[in-house]
Amino acid sequence: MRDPYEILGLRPGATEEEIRSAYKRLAQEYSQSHEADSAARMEELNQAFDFLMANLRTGPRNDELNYTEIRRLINEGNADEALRQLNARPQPDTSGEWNFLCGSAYYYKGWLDQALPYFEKATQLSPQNREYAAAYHRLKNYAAGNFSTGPYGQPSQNVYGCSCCDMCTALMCMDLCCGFGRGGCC
Amino acid sequence: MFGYITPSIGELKVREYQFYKSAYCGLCKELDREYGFAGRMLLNYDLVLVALLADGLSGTQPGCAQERCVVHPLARRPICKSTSGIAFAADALILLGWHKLQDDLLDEGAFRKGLLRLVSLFLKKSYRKASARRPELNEQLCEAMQLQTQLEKSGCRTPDQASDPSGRMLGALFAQAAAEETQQPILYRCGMLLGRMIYYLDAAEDFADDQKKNRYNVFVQEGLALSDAQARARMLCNLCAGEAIESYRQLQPKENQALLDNLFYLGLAESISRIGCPKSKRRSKTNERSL
Repeated sequence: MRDPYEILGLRPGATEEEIRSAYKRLAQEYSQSHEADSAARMEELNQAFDFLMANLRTGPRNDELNYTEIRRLINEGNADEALRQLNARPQPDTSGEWNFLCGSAYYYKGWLDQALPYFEKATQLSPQNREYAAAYHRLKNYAAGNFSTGPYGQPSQNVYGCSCCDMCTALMCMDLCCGFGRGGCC
Repeated sequence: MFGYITPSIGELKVREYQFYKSAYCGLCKELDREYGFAGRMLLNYDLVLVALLADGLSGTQPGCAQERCVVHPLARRPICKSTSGIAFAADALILLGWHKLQDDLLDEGAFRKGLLRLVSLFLKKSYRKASARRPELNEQLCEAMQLQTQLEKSGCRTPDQASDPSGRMLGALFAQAAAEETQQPILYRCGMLLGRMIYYLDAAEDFADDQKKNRYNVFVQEGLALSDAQARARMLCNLCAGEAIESYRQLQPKENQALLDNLFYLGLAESISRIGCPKSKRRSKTNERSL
């Protein structure tokens, strides 16, 4: 693969914002162009974008522990090896990514009770990371008994029930439709 | 250990409920045909799920016939004919039952031990037949049982670790119900999580008994009181059920969809809500009575 920064027309060390806007601009350009190789260039662009975003998430590479490698191990289903490498560090790591990956490895093993505190720690350490938050809230919801109910609609435990506030809001919204609260219908 | 996963009967259509019952009867008849009366004694509901899942994924629609049986000699009942799913569930039931019996033999008192020895004498022939039919599954179950004995001996205090063998057993079992190769890992995870859930339900139910008799129980090892142990089991089961449902959502059963949906989306939550209910009250709570 060519240098991903070069593909996006950026200098190394570009911020997330810059990468996103460059990606948007180029993707639009390629999708509108009728040149023969636009599909291939689009593919290359997507790869470069994914690579850079993954890089941003996992943090700088000079770290002694290669998080990309550990992500690969977990994705391949080799959670035990991933855990061994994560725990091989002499001092416990306090980065969000380390906690998230420990949690993920336990999660794939089916050790959900062990995974939950790691996910929690990861979200505490990097509250802005959506990937960590999604994993944590997913398990947290399950632990509280809120699962998907498929074709059966919302669970009967009134978790998302219709409250007084909901009704008031609905009435106010309806009122807005009827002439912005000036009374009279339409 | 088994019989925890049942549908939420109140939410089933009458024909679905009847089909569920006829599948249960079909499994019972299959056990009788293949393994004789001793095999029948092991019958339980969890394996009906395996039969329904295996047939549902392969798209087999079993025919039903009105038949009599020993348990209900007077009335004829609709009973499913044998299918590959039901045959598989029957073999699996014998294997699971046998291993469970061997496990019980290790930690029972002298009188019960004698009784269990007798039962295991009756079952030995059936076990040999089933293990010859499904050697791969039997091997995985043997390994898991060995691991279980080891964990119990070492006094394991981590529920996730303690439920590993059960998870592996049901994972291996479910994986074999796959109709296509791509379904195997999904089914393995689904079964693995259900296996863990069954383990926690069982441990919560036996908690007081195990504490009194000084037997291994992971919640006793954690040093919990009865109500705390039940709350903990509920939380652990919820985690497993939530994830098991997510695995199930990735499968597209060609048949039995309504029943399987009910079992996963409602049945699991209902089993969990029964933690802490005395056994005698359970039947009326689930409306599980003969019509």
